[in-house]
Amino acid sequence: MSDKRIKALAIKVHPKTEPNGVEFAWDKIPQLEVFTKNILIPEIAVDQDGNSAVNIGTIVSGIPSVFARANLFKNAIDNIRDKDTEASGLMLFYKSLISEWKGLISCIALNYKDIEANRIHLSYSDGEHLNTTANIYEPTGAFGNMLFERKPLWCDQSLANNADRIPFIDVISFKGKVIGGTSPDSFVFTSVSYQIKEKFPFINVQNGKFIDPLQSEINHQELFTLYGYAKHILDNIERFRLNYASVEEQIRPEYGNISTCIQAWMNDMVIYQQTKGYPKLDKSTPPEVGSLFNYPFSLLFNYSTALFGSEGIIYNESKEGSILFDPKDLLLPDTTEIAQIDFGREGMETRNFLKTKPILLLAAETKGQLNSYAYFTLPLTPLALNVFGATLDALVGISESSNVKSRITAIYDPTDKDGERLIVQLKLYTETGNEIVKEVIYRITSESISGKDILMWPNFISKQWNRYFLYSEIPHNDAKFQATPFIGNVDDDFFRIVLDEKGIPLYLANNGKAAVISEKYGNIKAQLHIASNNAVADNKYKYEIYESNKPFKGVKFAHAGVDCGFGIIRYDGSGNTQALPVNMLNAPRTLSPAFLGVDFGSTNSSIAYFSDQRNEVCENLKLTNKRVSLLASDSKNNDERPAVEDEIFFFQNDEILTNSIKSVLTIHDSRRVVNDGNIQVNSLMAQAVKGGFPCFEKNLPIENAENNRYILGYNRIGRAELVYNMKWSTQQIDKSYKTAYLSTLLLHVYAQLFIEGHEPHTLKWSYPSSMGKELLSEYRGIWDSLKEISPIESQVKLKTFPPSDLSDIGDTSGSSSWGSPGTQSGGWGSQASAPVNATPAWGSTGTGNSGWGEQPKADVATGWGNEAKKTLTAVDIKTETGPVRFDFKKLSNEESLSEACAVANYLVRPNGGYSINPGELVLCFDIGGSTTDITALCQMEGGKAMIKQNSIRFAAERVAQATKFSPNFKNVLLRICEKKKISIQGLNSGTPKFNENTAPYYFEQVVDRLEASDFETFYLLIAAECKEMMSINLYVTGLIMFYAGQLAYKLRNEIVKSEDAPPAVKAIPPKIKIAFAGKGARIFDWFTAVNPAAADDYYTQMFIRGMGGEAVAKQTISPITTSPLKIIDINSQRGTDNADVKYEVSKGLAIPTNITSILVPTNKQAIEILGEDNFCVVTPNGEFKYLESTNSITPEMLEHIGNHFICLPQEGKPHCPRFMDFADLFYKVSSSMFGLKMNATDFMAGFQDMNIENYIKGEPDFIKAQKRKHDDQKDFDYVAPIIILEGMKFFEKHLLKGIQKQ
Amino acid sequence: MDKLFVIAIGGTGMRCLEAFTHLCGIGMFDNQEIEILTLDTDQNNGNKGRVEELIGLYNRIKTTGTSVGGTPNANTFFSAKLNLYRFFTNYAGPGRETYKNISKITTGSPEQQKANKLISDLFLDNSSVQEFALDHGYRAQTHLGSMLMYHGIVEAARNIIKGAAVQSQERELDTFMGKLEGAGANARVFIFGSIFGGTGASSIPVIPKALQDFVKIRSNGNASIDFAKAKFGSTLLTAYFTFNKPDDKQKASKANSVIADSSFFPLNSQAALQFYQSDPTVQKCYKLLYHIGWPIESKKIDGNNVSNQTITGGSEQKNPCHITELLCACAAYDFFTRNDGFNSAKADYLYKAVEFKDNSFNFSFDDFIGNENKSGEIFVNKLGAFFSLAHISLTKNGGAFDDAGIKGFIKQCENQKLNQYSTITDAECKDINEYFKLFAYTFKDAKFIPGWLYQVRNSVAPGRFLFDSKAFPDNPSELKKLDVGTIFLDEKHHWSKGGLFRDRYDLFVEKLINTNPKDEQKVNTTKEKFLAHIFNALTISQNFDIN
Repeated sequence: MSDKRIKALAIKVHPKTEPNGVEFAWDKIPQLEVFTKNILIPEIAVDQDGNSAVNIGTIVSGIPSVFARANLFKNAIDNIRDKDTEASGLMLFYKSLISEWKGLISCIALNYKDIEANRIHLSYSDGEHLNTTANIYEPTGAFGNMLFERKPLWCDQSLANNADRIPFIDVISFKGKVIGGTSPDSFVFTSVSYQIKEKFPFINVQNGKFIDPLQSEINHQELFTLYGYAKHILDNIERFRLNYASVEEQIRPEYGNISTCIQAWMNDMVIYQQTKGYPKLDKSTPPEVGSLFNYPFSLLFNYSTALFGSEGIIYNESKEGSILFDPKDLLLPDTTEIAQIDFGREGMETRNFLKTKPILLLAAETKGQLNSYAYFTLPLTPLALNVFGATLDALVGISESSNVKSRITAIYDPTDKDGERLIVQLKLYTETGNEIVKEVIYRITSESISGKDILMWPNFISKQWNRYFLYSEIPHNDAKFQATPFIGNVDDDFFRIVLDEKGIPLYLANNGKAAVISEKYGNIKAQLHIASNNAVADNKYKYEIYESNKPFKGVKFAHAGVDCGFGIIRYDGSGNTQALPVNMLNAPRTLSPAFLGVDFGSTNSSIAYFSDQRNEVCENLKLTNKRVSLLASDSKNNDERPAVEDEIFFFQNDEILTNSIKSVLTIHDSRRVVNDGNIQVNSLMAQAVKGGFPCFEKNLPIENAENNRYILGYNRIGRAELVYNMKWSTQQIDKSYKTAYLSTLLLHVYAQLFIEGHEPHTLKWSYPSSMGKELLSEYRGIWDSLKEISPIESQVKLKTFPPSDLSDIGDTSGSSSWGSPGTQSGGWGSQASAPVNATPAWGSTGTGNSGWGEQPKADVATGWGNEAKKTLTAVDIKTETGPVRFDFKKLSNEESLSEACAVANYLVRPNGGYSINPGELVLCFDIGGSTTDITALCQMEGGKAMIKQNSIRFAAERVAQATKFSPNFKNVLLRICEKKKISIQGLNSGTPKFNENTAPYYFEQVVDRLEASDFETFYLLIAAECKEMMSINLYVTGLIMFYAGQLAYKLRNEIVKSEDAPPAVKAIPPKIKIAFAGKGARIFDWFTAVNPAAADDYYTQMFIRGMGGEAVAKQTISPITTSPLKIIDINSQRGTDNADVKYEVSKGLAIPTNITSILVPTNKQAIEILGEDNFCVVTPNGEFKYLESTNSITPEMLEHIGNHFICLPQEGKPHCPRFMDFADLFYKVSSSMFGLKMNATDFMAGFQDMNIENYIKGEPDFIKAQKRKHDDQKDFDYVAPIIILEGMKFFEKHLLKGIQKQ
Repeated sequence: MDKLFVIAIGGTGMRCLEAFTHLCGIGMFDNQEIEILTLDTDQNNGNKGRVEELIGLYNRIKTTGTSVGGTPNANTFFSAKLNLYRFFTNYAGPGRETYKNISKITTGSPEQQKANKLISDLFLDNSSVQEFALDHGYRAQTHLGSMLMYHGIVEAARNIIKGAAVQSQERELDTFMGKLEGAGANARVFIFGSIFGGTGASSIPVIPKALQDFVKIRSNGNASIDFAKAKFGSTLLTAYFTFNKPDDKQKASKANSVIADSSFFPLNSQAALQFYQSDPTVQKCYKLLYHIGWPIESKKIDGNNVSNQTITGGSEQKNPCHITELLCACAAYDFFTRNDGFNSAKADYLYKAVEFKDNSFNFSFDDFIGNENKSGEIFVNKLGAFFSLAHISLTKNGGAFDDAGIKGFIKQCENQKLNQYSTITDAECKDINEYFKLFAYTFKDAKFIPGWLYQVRNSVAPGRFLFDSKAFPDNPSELKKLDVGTIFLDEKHHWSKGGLFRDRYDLFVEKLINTNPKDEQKVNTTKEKFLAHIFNALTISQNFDIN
């Protein structure tokens, strides 16, 4: 070799690595890689981090392969072994590339939710090859061509050898912008010209390129995640490498340098952790990237923690009943807008506000505001909801005692520059102590859920219960917010959400309709009873009512059709938390048989049950509030404000005793009622819930009351309608309402009994004995239909008993035989008149006689005879001829009873009932709203027997209706409200609505709000402020007592005549005990409250007058006691504070008759008395056969009133002497004690105007009976005592006017 | 004997071909008929034009009557027969102006468009690379260029097979490829191009594959190129010159947003070399890769151009020649003449080292084609002879000043009763003159224009370059004084001194009379004989020990 110094005529390299060269000859470059690596590059502008100020594309452009960008990363990793070595030029650039590479991996790790990987197959889209394709420059194909020898490496190695292997690349996008791709050489590489403008730890803010986040600020959580991801990649490199094992050696990749690089990076992370004082990284887990990448890159970059969760406990391995999940699938996607729920000031200021709430939501601290909280829908997926199940309360942090340590927390940032944000962090703790953290920042819907509630009923769930209802003011199909309920699986040990194949809950409604749920999910039935739809789109108030046969688990919230999270119902299985609905799924209840008695009244209804297990009738039954308010509170104080919509259009929240249930039904706007089956409106409205809800509310925003409808006025919903006084209505729609009322009411009862450990097995119902057969048949149909109401899963089928006397009620003509009335004498002195005489006003007008006798003559004779004669030949009206045959039998236990019968059964109950001695005659008046049912009990052969039952349409409602005419009544109501400090909308609060139509309503409202101890005060107030109402009261009660006297006389005579009566009974004139029952019985308390002695005297005298006077009385009955003299016993056995008022019928129904063994006549005809003189039957041969007032009256007689049955006073006799006798005493007492302003002339005018025949013919019931006979060929079935009809007419035509004079 | 093919790609490739042509001109490739393909994206490129003109002259010089391009000779000037084919990728047509257009990225189904956009955005800068006008070449965007060049060649094959509207450049390519295919395993293909620029750098790695696929498509799959047998070699020429940086004003225009920036050439070269080293396709296709670089400071090729505009291409791009290009031509010589080194499974990288002193390279005879079998002497003998003849034409006979040139020399011969060359026409003489002008120098409008050899020598300066610096005068007065017999540094090679009344030149002419073409020179035509005659005379005069 020459000693000349030679120099390689090659690119400039570092002198150390410059090849020596061979003089004159071409020589091979030794250690080519080293040579190339050491090429010296003139200074280019590169900063200390290796970031070139010039476009990196310049360097890319030097590599003559379209895959240059990918190659650079491999070169970088292969060339830069030590990040700390000095580097310049390309090596410095490679260092920056490695930083970029780390940045990209960090981006995947920390922001994988923004990452998308699209696999692009590098072939022509027309499927053709290079020589035949239409466009050889098409990028996908052209790029593929350029792989040349490397093509096999870029193909899917898992494909069979004979498969058409097409190279591919997974293009990685971040928020929709291409940022990189996958490469078998460097795993990933960044794209040539991306730029990210947002701030992230892995982004260099100067140039928008990725950098190793260790070069910037990274928080401990991010570091934790990154370390886990790097480790995951490192651990899987070998698997990834093996994927390429069959690739030709020349192109087979080796990853030693990448492994070294990642390991070094991890070491750097540890140093970073130590420097920053962060927690150690050894427990870190990879981020839940999921299945972002396809094979084979999935091996490196996908990570799904296969965890298993059961009730919030998270395992690494499968356990029985555990759910496989991937932590990244627990939070809703960050594109979700979460809804805020506004709980008002209280919610905002109260820490742990949700702790007592029955719904699980997410509470967030408000950023920058100390102790200020906000509430949001749960941003958890259904999967997460099931993984945590009943421990969700622990997850959201309101159950500290739970051993579930995982938590979801949130910070609410109302001031973020891009709008309100909710920063949610989910920390999962596995059983092995690993911590996995997910954080997502959500946007928040533009408005909040505010002032709306979702309620459900009942407040328990059980496998034995299958009717669950949900009332939502956020209909699932509303325009803004929507809530859609879903159910839980009762057969699942953890009551998890029932999910479909895609993991979506089975929502119960869709598009305005109830969801039809496939049988494959089990027997799940959802109904939408009330829906929000276009027809009511103009109405501001939206609500819908669901029913499901499986319990609700939660609701999905959505905003404008876009889901925004969940609310989960929080059930309590421990029974420790009163406010929460109870989960009894794993606590089956033993349900004892209950025998129900239901007394459906026209104003009030009553329900009682007999417990088979306790062998007693319930003392009382309280329907407690079983509603669960999810988004508000159901502690609504109706003393302060009237009931709102949700209180009337759903199950009731007012807790009531079942003897004071108002017979009022709130009906829905019919346009809201869902008619899925296109059934007839009447059938639809007869359904429970759809047809409305019984209304227990005592403070309603009433606008008006007319035609048996209360009209309520609301700001939101506007008008609401309540139906009342349904009982006697024969309107078809009212039949539906009755059915709906009773159906829904029964649901209340079922729920209450369920809680009390009972299940109704039988149901007996009552009916007034005066009820027409047709209506009775209708009721039988109604009650029979209630068998289907039962929400209880059991073998028991509710038995509703038919009425005992449906077959022959009202048939009074067939089997009765009357003997002539006998008279019995007795004497107990004349004391009876003493108390009456003690009353000054009464004494002055004399006793027994009045000066009214003369006038009636005038209009008696006019032309009656002629008309009567025309039809004489056709009719032969039977009059009584012989004694009544009772043919007693024990009252069957398998029939529904007339109200009277039921009361009788109640009266003879063990523990508190009447003993009924041989010398006793018990008369019971069950005073309802519109009817008073009368029962008479006495000892007969074989035991206690009911010898009389009937009913008259004269009851407490008369008093209530009179309030319309009472000028001073409003004052009374206002005064008592003031005293009681209660507020009643329309009366003493809000716009005044008190008028003559609403007066009875307010009367009831007030009475209903009174406690037992308040009544006396109330009555005294009436006596003081509103005397005219006292007169009304005295009129009604007095007439009942007068009629009682008439009946007692009649009954005694019948007993004496009867073959069924034992001699001992016949021998002794009975002591008379009068019992009052029913809500209306309170009218007998009024006078007593004012002056007990006078009241007792008044009622006794009325009774005696009814019997026909003192002399008759003395012969007919025995006084209760003679010293002091107590002629009759009036209601002495009533319960304290009238506790059993209105329970008499229902309890009488409930108490099995085999306990009471009461006898009832086989012959069920009513013994009804005429009660007035001057009536005669015109016999076929034209004779006038006069009847005693004690005679029976039959439907046949009334059918022919005015024709063959006429009122024909004999010459000189007053027109209505018996009524006048009653009126006389009433007048004396009420005018003297209560200042009745009517005078004798007014009364006389009334008597003369009696014209009772025409009045009767105008009675609606009379007309109906006529119509039935005419149209349906049914027997005429209307009957009523003349005395009562007279009393009604006088009351309506004269007394009501009379009191207005005040 | 293997059949030789040369492919020159891009501006640098063209200059290497220029050097190669001159090697042919001085007679380095005896008995060879060499197929030459020029390949560019830019059919108007100045360098390309210059070399094509040069080869055109070369061929005219060898052409006599119907014998276009003549025949191969030996031991004479212009001994090789050169067949030139020209191909360029056409980006002039509508819809072919930019990557985005030619790839039709915005057509097809939405899925197609999405996939095509994703893949393009991943690798090619969306706003610049995908949008610059392609008609000035690939502007150093070799990643894009390689793909376009490959597909451009394949596209030509498809067009040819379709048969309709085949363009002339496609036909020329086809003919070249026909020769290549015909040579089969005996083909030696050498490729000239740089790895730092645009078109050449783009094409080198893909050309073998492109040619192979061309053959496959052209033959409907019946033929191919077997890389195990066919021998491909190439230069891997790294940066050896710089030019003005484009200023922001130039870069601001969309069309010029992508411009090669020579400051990145070393970086590009390094990145490219790493690619070559690791690319299996390159390794498989090439037998030998000749790495040639310039490890000392490069001269600016546009030193006087003060406009701060980079000439991106076109007819203005006529960069001066450089010794490295000559070395590339020498690499081709090595590749074409060596008998071994073709058996490696993957490409071998070769380089050359040259005496280096005082921060300059000093080139000796042996540095170009080696010194085995006196090849260095032979080379310099031939080059010196050619250079001398150039001076005889241009300087002694005023050819550079549009004077008689060679015709003058022939006249001089006639004066010496050497009349057999008088039939060489004026036009034929003019071709020879013109060739020498390109080889050595000329004057245009009284301005000195250095030719190839001058330029090469300039590129070495101040280092030593074969000949005495006095051999390179560049003004008329110096030129007049030039003694053409003294161009060598070593006096041993000077022509014999003439004596008192006769200078060396006169003596040389006398020697000429005493020599004749030889049979082994395989010269047939008068021109060939004339050149061989002079060649022989010069060889004798130069006193090289070459036999």
